[in-house]
Amino acid sequence: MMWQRYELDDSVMKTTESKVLLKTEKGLVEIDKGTLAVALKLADQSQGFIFHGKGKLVLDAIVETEEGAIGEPIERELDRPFLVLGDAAKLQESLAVTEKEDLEKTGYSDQKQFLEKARSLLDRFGGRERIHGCGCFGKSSDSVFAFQNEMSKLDVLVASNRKLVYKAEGLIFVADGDRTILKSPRHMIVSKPERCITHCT
Amino acid sequence: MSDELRDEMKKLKEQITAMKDQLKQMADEQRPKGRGIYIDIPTNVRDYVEDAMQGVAEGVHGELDRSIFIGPGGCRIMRQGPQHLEEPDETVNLAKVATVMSALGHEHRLKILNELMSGGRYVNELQEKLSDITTSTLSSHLNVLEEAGLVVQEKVRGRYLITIPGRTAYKMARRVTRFLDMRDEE
Repeated sequence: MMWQRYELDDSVMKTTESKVLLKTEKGLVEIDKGTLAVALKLADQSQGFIFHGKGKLVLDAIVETEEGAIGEPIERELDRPFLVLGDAAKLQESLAVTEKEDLEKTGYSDQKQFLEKARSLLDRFGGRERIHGCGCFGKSSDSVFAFQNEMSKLDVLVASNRKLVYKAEGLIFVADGDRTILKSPRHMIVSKPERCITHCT
Repeated sequence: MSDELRDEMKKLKEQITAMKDQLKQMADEQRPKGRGIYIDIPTNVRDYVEDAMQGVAEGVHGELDRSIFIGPGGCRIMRQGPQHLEEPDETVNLAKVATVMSALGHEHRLKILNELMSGGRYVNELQEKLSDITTSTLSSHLNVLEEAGLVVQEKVRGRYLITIPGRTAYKMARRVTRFLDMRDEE
């Protein structure tokens, strides 16, 4: 395994159509047309993006138990820059060169301003050294998302096929098919078919 | 009341009667044989004992009534002693209770909950099962149930799931109905 450094591309792009970045039984991430995007490169290979525009995150942080369902769906507008690592190739065809007006719509005067924001997010995600790449996202279905929350902390979502892990402020949700874990200020639930441990406050 | 309790009460009454007779006998023996004024103390004692025993009997009867809970599942004897009445709970949000009870107060919504008891359902599945409810009415009922916290809708797949409070509320409604059915049968 060789650890390498993620770098930002120099050019800012925009999406030419709305795009679903993730769709599983429990989670959905989508971005609107016109969302700004800058590629994350690892050894000159595009490995992900930092986006900024309009989009949404939907996550059913709900656990089904024999006694009933616990938890609630989460719906978040994605109006701050967020990072995605995963299969970038399928996105390339939906990207186009950005114009000044596209940048202005999102609140930037020029590309440099957006790139600074993107770099800041990458630094916070990976640490100053940004030595995170290890080629672990080989499968097209694997992806990592880092969303900035209202407290400017990062909420992280990791998805791989039916498996999904979401860690946000005060919430941890893990789903792997029928097996689920939910940890929130009010609940602690570990559930698998015919077995469930629940603690509610 | 069970036969065993009836026997107990019968025995108690017999004992009271026996004590009354004994007291009467004692009074007759102690009554002065000659002329003069006398106070019939034993008669007063007898009344007192009679009253006391009557009080004991009533107490026993009341206690038995309080200790026996007759429900749909049969007769249950409370062994942990007399139950104290619950203090009014100031923490109960009565508005919320009303919302939940109101959400339960429709046959269609109870049918929906009954359907969800066996697992999550998509709207079209519910529509298929509950064909007597129109699509718009079904949607409106689901909103009421969701606002009351009795069901939750998945936002990705769109299935409706019954929540823990929903399941508890539905079971409670069913239990109350059983009680009423039993009373009607009696």
